[in-house]
Amino acid sequence: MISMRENDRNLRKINRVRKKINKRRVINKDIMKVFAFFVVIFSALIIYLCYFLSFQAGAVINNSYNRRSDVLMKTVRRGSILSDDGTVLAYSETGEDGAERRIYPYGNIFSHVIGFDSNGRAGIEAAYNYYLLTSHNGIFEKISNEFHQVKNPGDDVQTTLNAGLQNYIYQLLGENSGAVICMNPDTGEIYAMVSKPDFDPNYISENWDVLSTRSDSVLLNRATQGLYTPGSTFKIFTLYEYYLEHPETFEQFSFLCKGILEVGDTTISCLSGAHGQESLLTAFSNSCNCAFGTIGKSLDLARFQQTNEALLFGKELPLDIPSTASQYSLTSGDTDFDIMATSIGQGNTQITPMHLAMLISSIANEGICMKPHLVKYVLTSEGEVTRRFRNEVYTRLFSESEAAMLKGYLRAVVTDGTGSPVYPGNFVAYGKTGTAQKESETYGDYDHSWFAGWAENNEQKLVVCVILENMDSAGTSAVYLCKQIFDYYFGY
Amino acid sequence: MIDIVYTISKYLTLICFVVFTITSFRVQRDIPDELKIKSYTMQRSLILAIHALSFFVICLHVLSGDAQINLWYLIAFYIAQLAYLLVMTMLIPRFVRLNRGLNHVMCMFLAIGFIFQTRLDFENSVKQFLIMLAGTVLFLIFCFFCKRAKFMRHLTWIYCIAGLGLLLLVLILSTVSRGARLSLELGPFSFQPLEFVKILFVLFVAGAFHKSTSFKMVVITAVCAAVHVLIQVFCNDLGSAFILFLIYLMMLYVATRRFVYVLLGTAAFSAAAVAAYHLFGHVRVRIQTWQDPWKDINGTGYQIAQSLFAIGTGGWFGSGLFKGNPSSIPLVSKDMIISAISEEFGAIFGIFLILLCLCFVLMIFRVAIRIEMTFYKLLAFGLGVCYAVQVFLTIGGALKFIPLTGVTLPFISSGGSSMLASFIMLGIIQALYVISESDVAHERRMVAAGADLSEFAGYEDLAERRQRRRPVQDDRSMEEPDDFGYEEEEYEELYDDSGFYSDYDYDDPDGEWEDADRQIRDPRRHVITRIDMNDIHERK
Repeated sequence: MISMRENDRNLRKINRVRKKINKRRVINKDIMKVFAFFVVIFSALIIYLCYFLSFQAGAVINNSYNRRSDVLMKTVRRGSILSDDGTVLAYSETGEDGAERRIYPYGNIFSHVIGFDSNGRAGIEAAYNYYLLTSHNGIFEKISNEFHQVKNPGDDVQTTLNAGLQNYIYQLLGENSGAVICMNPDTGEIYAMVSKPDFDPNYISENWDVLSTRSDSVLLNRATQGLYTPGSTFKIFTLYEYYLEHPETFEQFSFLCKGILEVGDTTISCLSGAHGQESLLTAFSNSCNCAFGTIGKSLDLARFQQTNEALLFGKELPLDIPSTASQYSLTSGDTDFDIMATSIGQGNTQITPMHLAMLISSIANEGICMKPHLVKYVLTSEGEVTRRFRNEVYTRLFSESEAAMLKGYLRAVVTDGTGSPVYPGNFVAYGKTGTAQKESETYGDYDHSWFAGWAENNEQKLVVCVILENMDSAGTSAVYLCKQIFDYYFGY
Repeated sequence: MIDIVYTISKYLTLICFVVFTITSFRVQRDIPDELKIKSYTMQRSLILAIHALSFFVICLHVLSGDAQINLWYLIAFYIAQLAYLLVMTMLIPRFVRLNRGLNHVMCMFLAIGFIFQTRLDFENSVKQFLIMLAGTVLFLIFCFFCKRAKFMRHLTWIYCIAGLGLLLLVLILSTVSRGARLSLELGPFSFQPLEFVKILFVLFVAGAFHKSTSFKMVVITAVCAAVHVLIQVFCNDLGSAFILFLIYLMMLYVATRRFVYVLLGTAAFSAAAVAAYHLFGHVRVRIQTWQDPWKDINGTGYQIAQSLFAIGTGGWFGSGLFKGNPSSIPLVSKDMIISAISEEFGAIFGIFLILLCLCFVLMIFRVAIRIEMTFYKLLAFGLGVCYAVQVFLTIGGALKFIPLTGVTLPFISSGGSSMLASFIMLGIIQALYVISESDVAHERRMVAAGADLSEFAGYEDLAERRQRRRPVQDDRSMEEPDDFGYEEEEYEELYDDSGFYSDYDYDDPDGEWEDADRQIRDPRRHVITRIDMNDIHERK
């Protein structure tokens, strides 16, 4: 029999314990809620890490700032580079001694665009380095390879390059220096990219000392990195600016060309003598320097600068391989001659062939500039697509009506003007010729011959941009070369 | 041939680590003691195995002549580390009462730290080892000290003043490094008080809410917390500021049990974040870098880009020790250690490391759950939150999941102050563990003494299940624990004659419990029936 006092003590004790437990249990529930919160955010971390590795890492590590290719080279045999129809343009061969050797079956033909895999890498070899060094084969196969000391086969890169077209253009160019770009304006796919002089990427390491010091910059990809005076092709820009400043009245322009125009002490002359009375259309198709010099003088220079910047002057081009930004500068402080020379493309302006090709592409594609690209797919060594590079819109350069207007002017060049050599054929061609006259103390005077334009039939469109260095003739050689390319591509 | 050894050791390390992590979670469940002891023994072997495997690879690498390390120094260093790990896992638990689960996970972190610090920078790792020894001494001191120092819970305002004082000292005297004001130069040492401010802050908040959770106290602590956070924002230490903010918010929530405070806090944080984005240039830069590190890859985005390259190139299984290139990541041994680990040991290892960190948090929270007194409970909880947030910030930052904040990964990253602070933190937690054990034992004793607690909802999970599984165990546990938390006289102090816990701030705004207690103590009621008890319970 317990006494009342004892009973009381026990009850008090129980009550205390009960209070403690209840209070604690409620707090404990809250602590577990906070723990659940941490479980959620830590799981998010883990899921993000998995997502990153599964979907993003491939693109992320393929960055020129990632200096880990040596790490991957130890476990992966570099993948092949293929043309658009699967022809092998570059592959790796493991020799008797276990050393890998890169083979380029087409030698010089793809030298700049495919690039090379030693001496710092270049071209697609550099831009898609990590894709080539990443293996997407099965995980167990990889682990088994690791234990057998066998390298995993790296992924292949399928390009947009058309081996036949590239080869044809390469042969056409012959010994001339210059560059040619062919692309599809609707997709941005680059079909061919030739730059001359060239080199043999199979022997790049052996000849490196000679190649890297040659005075003709043989390693430079002239198509994307070569800066050239645009010559008359720049009149597209001048024309466009004149249109922007006089959107209603630009077609009422008329000019009497006497073949020569005096500006202070110097003169501007037309190549083919006096053109006589001209409208804007005929001035453009005749590539009349006097008329466009006069137009240039009337332009609002600050606005012209803005327009040109919107048309990608001074901008890094959205390319995988290295490119140079085109240069343009004209301010109100410049002399009249500078202004006039610049508006006909003879001033300090410098443009890359790739830039001009993109400009023409957007006119051909109703004003939309597609992102030019060289690679379609990344494939496993078994041929399964692991990554698809879709056609992307880069930017809109012109409105639809502007593009249609410019298209009319470019057509006139071919039908009635300097571009007439590309008129005949089973395609409709558009374009602008140009001759860049350059006075150089070391080389003497020389002319670069330009043609930028496109041709289309019912199914296909092909933009071609040609620059030929140091041609004697008056700006027609590029256009003849282009005619042959169109003929080859569209068939006779 | 050597390559195959590298490969085998890489996969073995991964397997060991995965098993270790799973075991760590397993011992958190209520499994029989013999199984637990077996698990602990296995964990110890796994730590030593990973450590030995990696040092074997490092030795092979040194032998192949690629590294500028003297082989004999390396072996001596390995033996020193081995000795340390053995002492920590075998000797110390014999003399000091410890939560062995926590202790083993800590040792695993330290071993990973040893491996990567040695691999990244041998000389620095030796320095780091010495700092760690000093930290271990602090750890042991705190283990002993905290469970005996009853006065700790009364020093609320001293913690606050000390914390703010340290912060002001940093603001005034510090040198700017990496764009942030962090460290004080004391002769040859550079000291980062912010690491210790975190602990002081947790002590302060725990002390304050132990006293009272009234609205007035909430406001006062909120102001103090805001001052802490603001000073840190001015020091450009956004990571620490965010840690303090989250610690405060979560402790507030647990202490007051009002979710509305969390909502208010989140709203205040969002407003502050927007304001900070517009007011401070460095905040803007951080956010922009986080969104698009590729834009300025050579400048502000360099670190995060290199970190992503490392993780991406390493892949799921990693490149293996010395096969990667983690040195290209700036500050890899401090803020970016997870990227180096993921690159060379693989992302799967990284994922299990995150899980192990989560397990560590769970262990700390379990200490908080078992403990009785609000102060200790909040203290353990706050330190757990501090650890968890720190891990989240550093790993999330390295993965570009959240903006980079420059926080270290406790026990793994190099950095003296961070290491010392981590050891102090864990020392306190281990001391709290001992207190929690004595609390649990006390409860068991009540049960054994005949107190029928079964009617409290859910109580049977705790007590009965335990009894059902191990009927003998409770007797043993009655003798075993030394009542570090409360000596017999402290119980007297707690349960004074009024019948209330003078030192417990139970939530009783309407005096319900007080009434109930008075009723039970009423001498006119001789026998208390079960119905009465239920009645009281329902009123609650």
